[in-house]
Amino acid sequence: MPRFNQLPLNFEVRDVFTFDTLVTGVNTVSVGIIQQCALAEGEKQVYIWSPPAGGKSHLLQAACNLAAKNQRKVCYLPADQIIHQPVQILDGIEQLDLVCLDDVDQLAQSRLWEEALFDLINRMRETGNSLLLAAATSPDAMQVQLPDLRSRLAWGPVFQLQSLSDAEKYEALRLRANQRGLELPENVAEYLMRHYPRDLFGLFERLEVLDTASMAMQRKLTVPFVKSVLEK
Amino acid sequence: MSTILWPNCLQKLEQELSDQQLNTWIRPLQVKEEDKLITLMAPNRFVLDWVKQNFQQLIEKILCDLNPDGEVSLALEIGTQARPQSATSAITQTATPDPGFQTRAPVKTPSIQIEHNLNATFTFDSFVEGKSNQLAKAASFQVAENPGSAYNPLFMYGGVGLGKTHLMHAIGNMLLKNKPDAKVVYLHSERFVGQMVKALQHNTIDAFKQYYRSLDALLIDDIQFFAGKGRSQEEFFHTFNALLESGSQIILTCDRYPKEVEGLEERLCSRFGWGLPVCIEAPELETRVAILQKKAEEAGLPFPSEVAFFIAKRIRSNIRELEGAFRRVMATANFTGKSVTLDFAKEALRDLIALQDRIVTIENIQKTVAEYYKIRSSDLLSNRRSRSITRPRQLAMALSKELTNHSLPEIGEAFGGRDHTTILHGCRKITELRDSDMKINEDYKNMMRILSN
Repeated sequence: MPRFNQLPLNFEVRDVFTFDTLVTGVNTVSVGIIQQCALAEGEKQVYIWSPPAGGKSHLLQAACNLAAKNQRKVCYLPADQIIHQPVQILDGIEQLDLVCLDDVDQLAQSRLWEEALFDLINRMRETGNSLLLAAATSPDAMQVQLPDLRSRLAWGPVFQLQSLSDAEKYEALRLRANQRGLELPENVAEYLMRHYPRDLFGLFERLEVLDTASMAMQRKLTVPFVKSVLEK
Repeated sequence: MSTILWPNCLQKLEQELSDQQLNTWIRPLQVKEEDKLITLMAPNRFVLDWVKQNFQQLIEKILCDLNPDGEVSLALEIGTQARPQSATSAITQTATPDPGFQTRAPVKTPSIQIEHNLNATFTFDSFVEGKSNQLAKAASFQVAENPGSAYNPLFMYGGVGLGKTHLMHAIGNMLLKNKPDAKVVYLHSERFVGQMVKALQHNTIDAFKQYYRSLDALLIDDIQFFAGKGRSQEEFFHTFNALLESGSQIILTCDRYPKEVEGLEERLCSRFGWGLPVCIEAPELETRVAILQKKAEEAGLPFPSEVAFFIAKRIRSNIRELEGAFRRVMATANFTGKSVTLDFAKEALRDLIALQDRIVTIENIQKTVAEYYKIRSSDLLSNRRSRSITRPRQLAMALSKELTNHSLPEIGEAFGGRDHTTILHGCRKITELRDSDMKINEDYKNMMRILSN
């Protein structure tokens, strides 16, 4: 059977991205509203934004997983992948219960895609199905050519995902390590937080590298081991 | 048509594929099962190709296992089955001249399905009138009362999100209310273009023409999207003429006056000006407040007028963004179970109002702190150890750790090449001082506010 990660286009929604594995921190309200949206409760269109590596994709994929678990028809479309496709890829998707469009700002570079997105928002509005949008900027700050699109992006609630505190990032790292079955000693977590950039995406990436290395070398995570792997 | 094999096949697929794969690619397919032929219909070419490439083999294998004795064929194609009738009014009788539509000619189209696409909640009652939209509302009402006579075409123009579409739907809804079997169609210009392209591809352009030329009222939104689409403009031009000749009502919206739309043919521009072009302007404060109150009333939720004023004063651009801000306050109230007060709304909209999308950099923090304490930025990077410099320096370090994602060594580097342990010490010192020294705590909060806004 074909696996998603072997496909030429990878719109894979990672199973590990769920609301259980998400540390919400100060974003409790926005995350809660997105969760409701995934379950067709409350808002029909929600827009979230944060600088890159702010956890938007995790949140959108968690929404997809939750909706799919509840028998809703879902679709996760990352802009960097669909932008190479004809805009017709969006045809008919308004019939799905939940459409999650990631990195919308990347579509805003093309007039054709802006029109397609504009049309999709109108169609979603007509069908009454749920639409989750994520981008690196607020609709106001986005470089769009179509003012019609900008106003539609802000049709529903717009939330900025706030960065987590260091304590919350610790918690997120610990959760992610647990999920991978990896023992993450406190001093190693502290070392990672102190000596490397503290954006969540980067921290998770480093953890993934360490996980692979620790498996390959059959070593536990210690500060010297981490140093030797990450500073190669 | 019956489906026997497919439900069993779907059950097997559920065991083989993830929920996400099923819900994204398989469940959206429509199924037609006739004798030993199962046809799966995909909404578009992309889904079709994906399913063919990734799941066809598996589906065929399952079907074969389920039906080992007989031959089952699987066909994959683009298409949809006839949709349910909810938003569709099937016109089955021959249309007759109708006093409501003045000189309506008989049409020989005995069975055309009309999808009116109207949103029933957009009515004249739910439209908030103000100085900015008075004329447009009056003209729309006139047209709804006397279609095909006064103001044909009715051309409404103005910026985005000011209520043009609402008025258009209101006219359509009223036309249907007055004459339930009227053939009224609302659609966005993009959709008109899309349908025409499909009709050309499928060689059904005659049916397309017949459909649009048989209507009592055609409502096309945002006609600026016709710009540069010559073939669509040509087709629309002929449809427009046919409808006007037969006394049907045409209502159009655009984001600007027709002659100002670049890429729109001169003959179309001139025809759009034949009826009544009316402008909708951005609503003034009182209208914005009234709009918010109307939305709260529709939602059946209490919404203090001071909150409405607070939002309306800050969101001036258009009604759509006003609605977005309103929805955000209401969604937050709903989620937290709190009632909507002015303080609550200020908190809920904090980042929206404050436009926090400015990126905070270490350099920016150093500049802000230096200005706050009336020292030079270079002092923060220097080795000077007087109290008047070290405290601001430590505050700037703490703010850099709080507001940026830089690592401690990176922050140290930005502070004149200091060691990361110095940064850590500075941050700890500020945490301690904020508990014991009110002045430091106040300074810290002030600078946080300045940098976040």
